[in-house]
Amino acid sequence: MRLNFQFMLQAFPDILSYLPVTVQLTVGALAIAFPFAFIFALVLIKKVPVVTGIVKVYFSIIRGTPIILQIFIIYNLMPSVLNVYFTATGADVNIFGIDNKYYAYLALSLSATAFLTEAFRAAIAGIDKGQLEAAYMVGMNGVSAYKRIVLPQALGVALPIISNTVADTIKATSLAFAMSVTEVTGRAKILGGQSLNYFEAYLDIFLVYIIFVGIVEYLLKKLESKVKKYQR
Amino acid sequence: MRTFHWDIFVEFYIKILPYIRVTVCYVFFSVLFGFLFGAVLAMMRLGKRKAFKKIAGAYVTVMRCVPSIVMLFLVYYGLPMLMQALFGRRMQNVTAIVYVIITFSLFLGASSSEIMRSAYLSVDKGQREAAVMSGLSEWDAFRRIVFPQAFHAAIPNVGNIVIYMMKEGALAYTIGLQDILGRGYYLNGLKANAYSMETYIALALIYWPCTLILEKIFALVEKRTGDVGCG
Amino acid sequence: MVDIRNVRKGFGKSEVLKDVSIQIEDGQVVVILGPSGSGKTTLLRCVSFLERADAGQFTIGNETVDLKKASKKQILQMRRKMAFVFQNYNLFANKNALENVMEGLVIGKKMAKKEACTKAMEALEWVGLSEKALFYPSQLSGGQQQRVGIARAVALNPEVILIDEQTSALDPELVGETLAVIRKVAEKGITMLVVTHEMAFAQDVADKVVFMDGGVVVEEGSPQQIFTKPKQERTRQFLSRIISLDPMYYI
Repeated sequence: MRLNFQFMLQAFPDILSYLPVTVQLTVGALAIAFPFAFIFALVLIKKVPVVTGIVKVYFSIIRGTPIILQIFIIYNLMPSVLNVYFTATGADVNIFGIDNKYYAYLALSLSATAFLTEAFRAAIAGIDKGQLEAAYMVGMNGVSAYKRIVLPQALGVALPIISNTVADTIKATSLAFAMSVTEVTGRAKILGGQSLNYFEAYLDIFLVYIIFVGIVEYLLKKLESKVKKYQR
Repeated sequence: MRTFHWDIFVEFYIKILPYIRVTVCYVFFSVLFGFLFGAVLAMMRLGKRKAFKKIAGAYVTVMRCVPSIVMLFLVYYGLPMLMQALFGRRMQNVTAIVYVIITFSLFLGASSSEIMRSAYLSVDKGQREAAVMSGLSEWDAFRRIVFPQAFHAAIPNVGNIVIYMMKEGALAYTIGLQDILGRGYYLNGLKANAYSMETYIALALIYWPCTLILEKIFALVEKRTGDVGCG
Repeated sequence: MVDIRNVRKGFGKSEVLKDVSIQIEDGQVVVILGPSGSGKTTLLRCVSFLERADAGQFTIGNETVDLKKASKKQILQMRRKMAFVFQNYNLFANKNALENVMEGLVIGKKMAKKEACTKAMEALEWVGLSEKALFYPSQLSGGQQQRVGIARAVALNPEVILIDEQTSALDPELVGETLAVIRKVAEKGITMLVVTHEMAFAQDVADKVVFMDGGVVVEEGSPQQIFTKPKQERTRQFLSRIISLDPMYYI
């Protein structure tokens, strides 16, 4: 088996220059997912009528369909939805001028939101009620009791799932080519296609992902052991 | 917003349904081979040989870091090259599903080894000790006492793996396999991609119930084998 | 006759057993007393091969094996001559009480299912739990689980029963419950080696008391002799400490 090492070496920096796009997609998706997940988690915990039902159905659909299909749907549906919205509100926005990345953020955030919600819900629900009561009894109000006592503990419980979700989101960005966004995988696809060195191109990104996701997971593990130090 | 063509939606839905068999096929074989491979990895990780432990651990870490589509392409382009290097001839007439099964067996090997390992470790050591002290051989102690308990502990995770496989396998369309998603993609393509929304909604309404059914099945299996403490 | 000879065992640098030997005549009940960390439990685990000893011989009847070098086959053979009652019971969580007792008979001894079932029911009845036969361990109280564990051991009809009985001291009610059953086993004339904290039990059923400390046998003798006129200072200290801690133990 002969590998074109020269191509691999040449393509590597080129591909690596698209890593910022991968990072951007990940951060964008998570930036949407985190606040929504937190709100949804509270909805589930407080058992808000109707909304709880909607959130549960949303989860069921997200968990029940492939991410690539969610991407297809968002990418096809959003422009028309936005079009209707902008026409109705009379806003003068050219929907074809919207960067595809925004659709990608949204599409990639869907499953991240679902997993994070479950993580937050389980973590908050798992904190002993006595912790909250004790916080009240030393004179804290609701906000500071949550901020200083409940959430830091909940974070420790939720972090492993958060880490997983971050890693999964990074991996899911590799599907952004389906929305014509070129990130690491998309770039490898292009370079491989131009030179017919497909295997070498994918071998390059194989390494990129191992290193990148590996580092992210390592850092999150560090954070985890830091947050959880009170448990020892 | 353009109108939703219900007739096309229904037509596609009916035309896609039979292709569930392709999805079922690669899910079944990927899970089967994946778990066989995973059992080997789990044994390596639980065993005493340090080198085996390291190798298996590194493999699992690597597989956790790589997106499935990258692995799928690596196998799809790399395997024929490897075969040619080994046997001096190009692989021909290998259907796409083979690549899919190989790719996901590699993935599921890693994730199922994690499941098996933690399920095994979740069974109290005393269970094995009590079994061998009742005169059972090590193998009988594993087969009759440890394994059933570990198996029961693992069922929810096994269910998750099967569902993951069904959904992630949809990426097979990128190498031209016509499974559920692949068939929808193909049908839409025949009509110049004019009915994307109809296709995708139809696909969602196939995948979603399939997931729900799988969830139900595994919940039932868990209950049926659940005589641990509720006989 | 059961003969434990020159057992040594270390974990890392610490030596837990330093040349321990104990002899038990047929039908005798030998009780090992000693502070925690004295190596009592490790001794039981070594002769049952749950831990590999660094040296020593073990004889049951006319069969002797080397505790360090015993082969898998020898281990299985020896284990089929003995039974073990664990301190945390270790009932099979996936089997009900009856199946717990039957398991060793059917799989270990290859007994026919029907016969094993009858035997197992007898054993359960003997410990007063025939009504709980179809209950799973999680549905039984600690004392009941302990009794099933004893029934499981007795049903195997072993040449010697090893009993690791330490935690029960925490719960007085449980103590009474299990002691009564162990007493019954002793009356049956089964050879037993018991590790316990229960002085009352030792006084009651032991034919011989062995006092261990720091991985060695400090002193052994009849219960009368050990409790009323111990020869060694260490034994005296241990006994006085336990007795002064909780007079109940002396009843």
